[in-house]
Amino acid sequence: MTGAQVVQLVVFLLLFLAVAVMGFMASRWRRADDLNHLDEWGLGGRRFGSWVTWFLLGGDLYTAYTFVAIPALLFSSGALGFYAVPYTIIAFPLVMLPLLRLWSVSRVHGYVTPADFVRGRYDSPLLALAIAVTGIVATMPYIALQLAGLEAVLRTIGLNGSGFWGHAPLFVAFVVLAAYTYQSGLRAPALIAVVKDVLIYIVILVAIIYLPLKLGGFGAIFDAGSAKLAQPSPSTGQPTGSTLLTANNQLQYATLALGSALALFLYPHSVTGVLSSSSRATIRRNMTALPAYSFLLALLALLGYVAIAAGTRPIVNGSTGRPDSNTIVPALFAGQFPAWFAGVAFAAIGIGALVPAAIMSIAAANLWTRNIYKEFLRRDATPGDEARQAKLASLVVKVGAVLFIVVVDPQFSVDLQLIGGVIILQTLPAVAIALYTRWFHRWALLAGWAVGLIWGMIMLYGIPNPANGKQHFGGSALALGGLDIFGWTPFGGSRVQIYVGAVALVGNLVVAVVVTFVLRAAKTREGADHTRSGDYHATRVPESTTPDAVSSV
Amino acid sequence: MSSSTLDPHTPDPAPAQPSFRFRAWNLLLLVPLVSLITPLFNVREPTLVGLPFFYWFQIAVIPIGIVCTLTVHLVTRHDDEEGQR
Repeated sequence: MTGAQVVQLVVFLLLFLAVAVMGFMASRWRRADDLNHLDEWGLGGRRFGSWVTWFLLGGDLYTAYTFVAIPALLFSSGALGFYAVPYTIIAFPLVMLPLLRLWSVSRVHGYVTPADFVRGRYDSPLLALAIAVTGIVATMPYIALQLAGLEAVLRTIGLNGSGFWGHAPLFVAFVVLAAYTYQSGLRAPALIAVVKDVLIYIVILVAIIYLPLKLGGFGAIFDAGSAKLAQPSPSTGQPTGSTLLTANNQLQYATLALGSALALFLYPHSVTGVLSSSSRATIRRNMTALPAYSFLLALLALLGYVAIAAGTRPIVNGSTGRPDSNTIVPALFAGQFPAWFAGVAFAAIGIGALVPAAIMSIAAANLWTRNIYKEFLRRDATPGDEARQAKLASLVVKVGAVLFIVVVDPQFSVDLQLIGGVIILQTLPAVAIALYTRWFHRWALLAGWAVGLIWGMIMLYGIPNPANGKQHFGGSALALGGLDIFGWTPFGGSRVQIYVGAVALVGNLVVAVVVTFVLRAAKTREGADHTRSGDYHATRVPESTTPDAVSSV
Repeated sequence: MSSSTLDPHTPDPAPAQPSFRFRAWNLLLLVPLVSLITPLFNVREPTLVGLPFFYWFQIAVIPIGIVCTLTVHLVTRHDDEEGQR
């Protein structure tokens, strides 16, 4: 460890400890009579106003992984990585109206998870189980990625040990996180998110003003970026990327941005953030204000090119022995900032990992408790049992995520995230479209979901990555020429790329439509719809309503 | 919803409120989708403070998106029966 790294570590530890204390104190914030209730522990009492929701959703959606991986993507492949900007531009306007419906119907019926809604809408515990399991499976690698972001920072500071115990600093950070999440529930990340955002804003503003000045302006930075990306890669002989899109990846850019935007609020942790807000007005104001983060993200993405111009090199991961591209931004900060400010920046990224990791584990725990434990294992569970079960489940989920990091190469965890995005997108018909119409038959939705998942997996499996020599799961860009539907290749020979998730979703919808016609012709039972059309616009819980879900909680 | 009436155990939905409320103002929410039409802006010139058009155009769409969402929010909030605020 160098002297500068000691200073970085001290600053990092001070901020990290301050945040941990806040996390434990959070259980007293707007204290409820009884934290042993899932609504209190898992949704913060459903009382968060506009400001808290803004920070909570911001902490939820703009994560350490975003801050670390998006610039790394521009660093390694250029313009394609900028997809994160249109993704966050279109996401909030697109989902505002559906989310208002989801909030209202969930408030009336006491739904805690998206799967709760599906169960009420389609009267099918099985379909709800499919949605819940999809949510948990898609969330796990996402939590693991937050850890990858945190570890990138720790390794840059110099805590870059080898082998299993090289992960020890991460374990310590995670035990602290697990303890205060267990103690305070959703209140902890909501409070910490405020600190995280303030730190991140300071760091990014300084970085985006100070660094270009130091490196000769954006003109020079883009020249350096274009020059490096145009060099042929040693493994493929092709240029590694370009600062503009090419003829082949424009469709990939647009479909990836659209697919990611649609997937965003299907993730259980985003739904948790939305359902914890106190009113429809809170959600409306947030959908208006959340794109403010997009500025931050755009500026941050450009740090990938800044890193090229500054000649930053990724740090070799002590546990895998290979360069870890996730360390690009931390290494840039360590190389260009004074040590104490680099420490602040690292704390911002590290805390930026803890907030979403906490919310995600709470959301996964809610799914487990509501849609698996209570539905299939203990139907007579009391609210106290539910809260206890959810707290334990949040611990299990975190241990699982840590195992991900220890067992798999962080480089591979990014691919897991791509897979997660593709599979969560397959819940769109059953969750999002169902907010508007119950036209689809419940078994048709299940069939479409299964086909979308399996087909998506097959396509992802078939994508190689020549740059790092992997044969399978090499990315989410499918060449249209490789699209093969039972031997039928509609775009044979085309090298235009498209996002796998979008293709799988189309398959999902086609199957759902066809099977719906078949089942309806066969007069298969549709189940009862426990929601009423007025529920989707409700601003408060009608007193006359005593819905099953509420009474059972 | 049509299928809910198939099951005799389901109470009839409240007839007073239609389940889907269309408002022309809501179409404004589609304006930010312009940032998906890559052929419009996938060029280097003109640059702005050294940023190629590709980058600063998309950054410029951010405030446009905010204005569109804000307009929809302000225009429709009274109809949205928001009691407590």
